Amino acid sequence: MVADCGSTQISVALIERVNGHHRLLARGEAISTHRFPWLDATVGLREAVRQIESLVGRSLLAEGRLLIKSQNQTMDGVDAFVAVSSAGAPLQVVLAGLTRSLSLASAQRALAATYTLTSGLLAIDEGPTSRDPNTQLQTLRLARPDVIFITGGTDGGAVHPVIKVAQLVALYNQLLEPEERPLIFYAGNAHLADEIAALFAAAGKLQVVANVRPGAELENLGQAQTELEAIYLKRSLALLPGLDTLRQWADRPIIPATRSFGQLIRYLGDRYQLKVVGMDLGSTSTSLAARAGDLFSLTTRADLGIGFSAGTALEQVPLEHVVRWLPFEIEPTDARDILLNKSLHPASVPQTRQDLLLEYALGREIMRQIVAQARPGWLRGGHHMLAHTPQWDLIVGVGRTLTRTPHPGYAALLLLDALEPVGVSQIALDAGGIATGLGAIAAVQPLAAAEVVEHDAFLNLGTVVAPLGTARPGEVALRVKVCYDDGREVQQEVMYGSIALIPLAAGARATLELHPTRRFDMGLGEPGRGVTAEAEGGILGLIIDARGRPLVLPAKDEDRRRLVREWMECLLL
Amino acid sequence: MKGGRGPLLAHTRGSPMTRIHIRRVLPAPGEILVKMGDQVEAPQRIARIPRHGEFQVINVAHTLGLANHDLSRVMVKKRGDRVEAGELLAAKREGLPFLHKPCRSPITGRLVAIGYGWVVIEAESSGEGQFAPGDKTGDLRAFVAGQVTSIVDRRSVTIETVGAYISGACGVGGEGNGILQVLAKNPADTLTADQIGMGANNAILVGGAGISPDALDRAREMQVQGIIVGGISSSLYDLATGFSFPIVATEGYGNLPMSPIVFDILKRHEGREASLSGQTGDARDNLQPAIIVPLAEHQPEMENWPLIEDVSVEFAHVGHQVRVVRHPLLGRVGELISMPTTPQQVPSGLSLPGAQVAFKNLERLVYQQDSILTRDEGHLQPDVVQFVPWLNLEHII
Repeated sequence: MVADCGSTQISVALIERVNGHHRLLARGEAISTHRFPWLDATVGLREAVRQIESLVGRSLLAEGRLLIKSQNQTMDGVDAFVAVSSAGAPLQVVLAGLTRSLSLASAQRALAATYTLTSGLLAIDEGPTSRDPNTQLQTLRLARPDVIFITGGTDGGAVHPVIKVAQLVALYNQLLEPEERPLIFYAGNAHLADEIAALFAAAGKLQVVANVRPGAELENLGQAQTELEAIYLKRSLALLPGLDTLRQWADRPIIPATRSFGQLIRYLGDRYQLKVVGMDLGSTSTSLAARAGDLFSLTTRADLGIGFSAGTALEQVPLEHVVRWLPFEIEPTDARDILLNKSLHPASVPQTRQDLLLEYALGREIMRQIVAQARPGWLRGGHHMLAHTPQWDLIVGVGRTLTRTPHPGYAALLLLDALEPVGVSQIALDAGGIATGLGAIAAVQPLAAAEVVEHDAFLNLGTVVAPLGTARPGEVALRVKVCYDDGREVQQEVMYGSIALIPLAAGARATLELHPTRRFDMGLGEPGRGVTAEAEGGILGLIIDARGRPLVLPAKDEDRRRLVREWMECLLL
Repeated sequence: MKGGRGPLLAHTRGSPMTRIHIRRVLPAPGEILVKMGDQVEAPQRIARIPRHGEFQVINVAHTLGLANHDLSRVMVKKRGDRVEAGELLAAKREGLPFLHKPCRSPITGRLVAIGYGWVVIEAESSGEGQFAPGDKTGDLRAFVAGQVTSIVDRRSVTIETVGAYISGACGVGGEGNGILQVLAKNPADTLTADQIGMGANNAILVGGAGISPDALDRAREMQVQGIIVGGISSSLYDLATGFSFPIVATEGYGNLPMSPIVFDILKRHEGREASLSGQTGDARDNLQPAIIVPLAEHQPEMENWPLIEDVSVEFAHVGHQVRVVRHPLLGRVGELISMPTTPQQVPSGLSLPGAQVAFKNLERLVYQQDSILTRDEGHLQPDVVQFVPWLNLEHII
């Protein structure tokens, strides 16, 4: 059994061997109960488990505790229990370093692997004001950080500026009571580790890890990410009411949901030799994981979510960017009110179509923000094409906003608008609601995780074909010939700015002959060059997205709304 | 649903009379000024962290032209010393007398840190004054009248009282105490400037659905202690952030009629002293806006209101009073009358499990595809039954 304790909802899934294979047997859900008045995460967990008990007709709880099979003679109970969570408050971190584009950028990528919020930034390379100790001190005082992350200097590189920053932080620590002092996390010039340790010997708790930027072109995030996650587990997740009970039930330490999700995406890429990107759009946080060859990237934004974090998301995304995705007019204040009310009741669901489309519009912008943040990291992984013209073999959508839509076309459109993939990609949704738990399951029962991935985890929406390029409206972007396995053929011209849907049922396969016109490129770097590709069918079929890359929305309101309506209608929305 | 019960629901507090425990927490260890069992009044200081002045960092090493950052040979003042503006902090006395350099304090205050060539002076302050939201120093007041029932060393005081407790959906500003003045005749009214007279001074005003920008300005002129409305537009929210008094919206953002239950409670308590908090915390703080009306003992009304001792949250049951938290019925209160076993489709297209809820006096709601719904307020429909998804319902406790 696996539990995902989110900030808004708790879901539990039961996996068992059926006819020799591990299958997802049943799921249960309840609202999260770690807040008042319950102040105990296990209240909601037990409710979700009871739902599974009703479905499978067996006892899984006894006297409120989880039954473990090895401890009883009946068929009741489970063999193993693991849990993931995203419900802990994010760590508040001040970043202090030299150069925003180098060491601080690497530090931010390290922070992005778990649930953190950057509440202040000291970047010494931003002019006299940024170097003024009074400004720096004020930044630290206002930020109330849990952790101060100091970085800067390649190994054997800059010395004096790094020491200066550390000294200012040590001075700040002198102003605080010992129990108030934040943890100092040093991941800069390794040659300075002893000197840094001496600074904080009497004034704070220090943790030293490998430099996140040991060379100008070298990035080393692994140890920093591992240790930051450990700090999050200890300082934040450990405080979750009810976690002690959960720990007693679990076979393994409870891990952050984002790590488990990242492990799944890495597994999919390695197991099936694919370039995979996964987007988990959550209530409080959103995670983007990518695996392509040696590249693995995990970006977590604890301030961007469609529920609890809708308010903070609106602080970062201009409202006009949100409403541009709507096929109707709405007063900006009304749009903001509706979305802010969602943040007050994050588990609530849209009952009107207006609310639904507004939530989806915000979801698009949240996902686009996180993609923009992750891209430089893809470039650093040597994947120029990924960074500039993302070409994925498989796109995975996770989170209730994406997986519980009135029509799967909504989910497809959301992911296409967010990721703007180029080339030929498969789209799948976490229909089983289990993706974030699969990484944790793999740690105890790898075969179970693999078999659930194979059989039950994903709903295949189909294949999307998207050429890179733009043109004038009305021009042909792509000529497609679909050769079905049964010998039928379909040919279609797709105009620039449009989406076409060609039937290709789930389980069916076809060979595609793709002929982009001279302004368009199927991701080979050669406009106009045709390619042949294999396509797998799905719930939606074959989606030809000829809206152009980059995706450009008309500036004129009426034209844009008409186009958005047309795109939705193309996908039968 | 198993056993005739529905799922766990989110909740909101709207109790006319309940036992209330308010935990007052200092943002950092400080000084507790009361003891167990003390009776306290709302404006009374119960704890404090002496207010810090602004910090000023002085680069002594640079000023004196020192080759290194060791200040031990040049400091005239030491950590903890009080210094006046212009007073000598450090001096380099090596070499010829005319080359001696002084470093003087730019401000009056206390020397609080020395290190790495710098000193930090904390500017002098009176040490008093209430916490403003986000402050880490200042006075902590009781906020409600009651009895001290728990003290955690240097950090928090719990005060117990009995009275009305209402959760706010959102709020802005700090805390305020004042006499409740109900200006709205109807929970759907908008509070306007002409309703706010001289009598509003030091009062907590209760409006209906919302408040106009003019009314906000007028309230500020009248120096009210707080405002309670059903909803507040996000466009006014930014304006109100700068005000000195709290504003609490009981239903959320937008022009939203106040819940009749909440309006009724406030109307019953009109004329009484109330405590209002507009503070909304982040994920760490778990703060929520609140309205509290403590009741003195032996008040006749108390005999008619059952005292809710324990906030025990049950599973949803037929007969429960529930509140809707999402459009188009946001803020409406109704009675849960049945629990269908199969999901039902709502206008958004989603198919969801939920309940049939009976609403009284619901104005006819007119939907239009993709546009804001309109209310046909001339037509009230008694006893309308609507399907509402479980996730869009909360208990009122």
